[in-house]
Amino acid sequence: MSSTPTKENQGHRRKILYLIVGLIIISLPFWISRFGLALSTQIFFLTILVMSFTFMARHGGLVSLAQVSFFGISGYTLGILSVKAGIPFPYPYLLAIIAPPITAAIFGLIAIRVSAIPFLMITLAFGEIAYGTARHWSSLTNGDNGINNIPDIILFGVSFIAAKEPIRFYYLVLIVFVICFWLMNKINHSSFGLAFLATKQSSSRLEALGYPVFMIKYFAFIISALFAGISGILGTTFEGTINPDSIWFGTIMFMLIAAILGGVNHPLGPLVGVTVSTILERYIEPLTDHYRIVVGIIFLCTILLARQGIMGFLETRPIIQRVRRWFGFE
Amino acid sequence: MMDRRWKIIFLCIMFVGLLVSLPAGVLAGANDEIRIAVGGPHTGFAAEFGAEEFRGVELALQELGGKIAGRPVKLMKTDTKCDASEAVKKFRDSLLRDKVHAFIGPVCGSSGLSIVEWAKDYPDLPILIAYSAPEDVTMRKRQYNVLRPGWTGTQDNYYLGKYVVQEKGWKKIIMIGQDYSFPWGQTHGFIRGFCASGGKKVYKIYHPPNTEDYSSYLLKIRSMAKDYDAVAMNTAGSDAVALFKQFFEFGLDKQIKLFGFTNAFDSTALPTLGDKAIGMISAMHYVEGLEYAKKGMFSKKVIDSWLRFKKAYMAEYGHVPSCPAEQGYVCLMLYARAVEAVGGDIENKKGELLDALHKADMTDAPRGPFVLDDFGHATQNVYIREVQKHDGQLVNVPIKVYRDVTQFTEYVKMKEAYMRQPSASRDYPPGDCSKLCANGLGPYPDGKCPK
Repeated sequence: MSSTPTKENQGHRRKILYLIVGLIIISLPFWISRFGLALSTQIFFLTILVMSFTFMARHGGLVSLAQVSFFGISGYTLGILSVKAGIPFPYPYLLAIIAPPITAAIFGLIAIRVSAIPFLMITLAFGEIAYGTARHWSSLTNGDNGINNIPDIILFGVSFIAAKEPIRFYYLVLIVFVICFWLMNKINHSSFGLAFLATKQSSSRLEALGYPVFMIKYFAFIISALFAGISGILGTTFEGTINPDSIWFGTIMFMLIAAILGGVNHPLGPLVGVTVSTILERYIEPLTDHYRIVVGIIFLCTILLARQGIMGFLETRPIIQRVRRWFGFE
Repeated sequence: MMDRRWKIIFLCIMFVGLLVSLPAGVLAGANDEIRIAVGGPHTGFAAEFGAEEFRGVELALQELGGKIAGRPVKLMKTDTKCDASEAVKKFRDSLLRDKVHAFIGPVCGSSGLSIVEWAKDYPDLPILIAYSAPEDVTMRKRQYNVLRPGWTGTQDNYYLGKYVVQEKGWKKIIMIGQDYSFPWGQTHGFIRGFCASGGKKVYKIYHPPNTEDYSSYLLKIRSMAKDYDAVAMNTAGSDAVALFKQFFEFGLDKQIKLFGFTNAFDSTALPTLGDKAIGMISAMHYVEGLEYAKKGMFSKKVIDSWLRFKKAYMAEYGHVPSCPAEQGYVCLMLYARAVEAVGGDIENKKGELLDALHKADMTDAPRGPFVLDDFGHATQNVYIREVQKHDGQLVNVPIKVYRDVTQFTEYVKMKEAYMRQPSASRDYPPGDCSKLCANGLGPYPDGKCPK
């Protein structure tokens, strides 16, 4: 007997779906290999970085390359305070959380005045400054040598060492990721998020309606820096090292590719993009010396065939739409 | 607009390709296989160093017949890109994904520093640092499982500093080098030896890597040429070629002497530099023209083991081996000897394997005999080399040899005091010898000199 599904029915289906996805993610450490676990940990914290990028790009139409610098600023704050200054555990982390938003608050005063290509250029310039500082101010940052022995996180007497306690570290990253993902969704659907979205479509009209366009963009920039910074803390702790190269071109390219591959306009885009590009990178590289060409071709195909990224492409498939309807998603 | 069906087919192919590639990467070989990851840059400005390192490892394995202690060996090339965090990422991948038994590499300085930190968490895992030269790797941050049958920038350049003061009488030097950790370490060693032997001043100029136009730096050197005795080229790769050519185009060769640190007159660069390079002095623990040295400088055994390696390498790859190639070769040989010493049982005798690595006999190494010190670093010859032309080819030839040089150079009796000195950096040690003690070390904060 086939009948039209009721709202209640769909609600149950959704709950079961969430339960299954949640169980898979939570039980991951118990059935996946050590390599897979390290990979998943990386995927989650890199997703936070890409999320901060797509937040700016999707809502404000602002392509901000400075996100990687915020990633680096928190990493360097953490490294300098804990390794070079020897400040004990919680304080370097707390300062590393607030350092990127503070930097964004200062830098945003200049950067937010422009949009589109000039904004991209000015954030690129900011990245260059951050990179140059990391590289050349060697008395502070150790220059090219980088800061190498980042201390471990110890919360309530439990240590979270990425290498020795990979499962604990995975859960730590997972919890932070879930909080960030939830927060990001809340912000996106809040009146602030909607106003930010409107600035992309017509900032002059929004201005005429009495919205403080500059302040909206400004605060969005600060929020995105906060997220990038959180990702930077997790990344630096995971790698145990921060050096100039990790906050420059390679990471910027990764961020851009992951964002575009996954789809800028879908909330799950960053997660999908980071997952696909990380797995591609890790599994194609051992097979051929020219893995960059392979990644490049896949990237090209995505741009040609699915301009909205993987998520955007899937969304328009009839079968996926049917599945969505079956679950009662909008 | 493309037909929708084609879109789907394309994406399906991509997806299937992805799925196919997944297990291929994970598939491990036979159970008795020894897997060794060889890490080095294979992209970027240092790619040639990584390629040479890998060739050396390959040659060594070929000589061993592809087997160590009766077990087949699988080499895995991994691209660490001369980037410290990339090195950690790739090493972790190789360990977790491919379950490798040992590492050879990395090549770049900062990568070595990040790897030795990373190695703390895997105390059983043998890591043979191939070409990475910051002294901290086997000194202030040493790990028992991290060995370096290679070199430190200080070890080689200390004696160059000594040589230019004592034999050439140059007491004021302008140093021009790339701005990253490797040249900093080189300068560090040079200044120590230079100041300890009575030198006066080293003026440091650092330029970003991959600079093409050196005119601004060369103009500066020209304006200073009157007050200085010589220019030291602390640059490597394509930068060195450009700098060398422009130095002559500016006519600076008529105003001031030129010499080089370790990599400036590398064998790979010599054909491009041309005959102008003849007579150029540099120092290294490796020299590709060992057989042309004056009679009596080396024993027959040393020359024979060098020539055997050089001929085998040239037969295989068609060019003169460069230093990273020899380093890769030696790393694998050292590992093979240690594995044989524990009877191939690397899974159960991890501690014994590390001990065997520290004790392995390398008196027949191509570069000249060496042993590993208590910290796992090579104690070896350092050659002062001169570019000469033999059989129509430019080669570096040893003109003086300092034997049994440790990583502590002449501070071997005061290791503790030496290790209390700050690590090499862009600004340390200062180029002005009057700010250092007579023995080349920096004074303590209270002004007293380390003894």
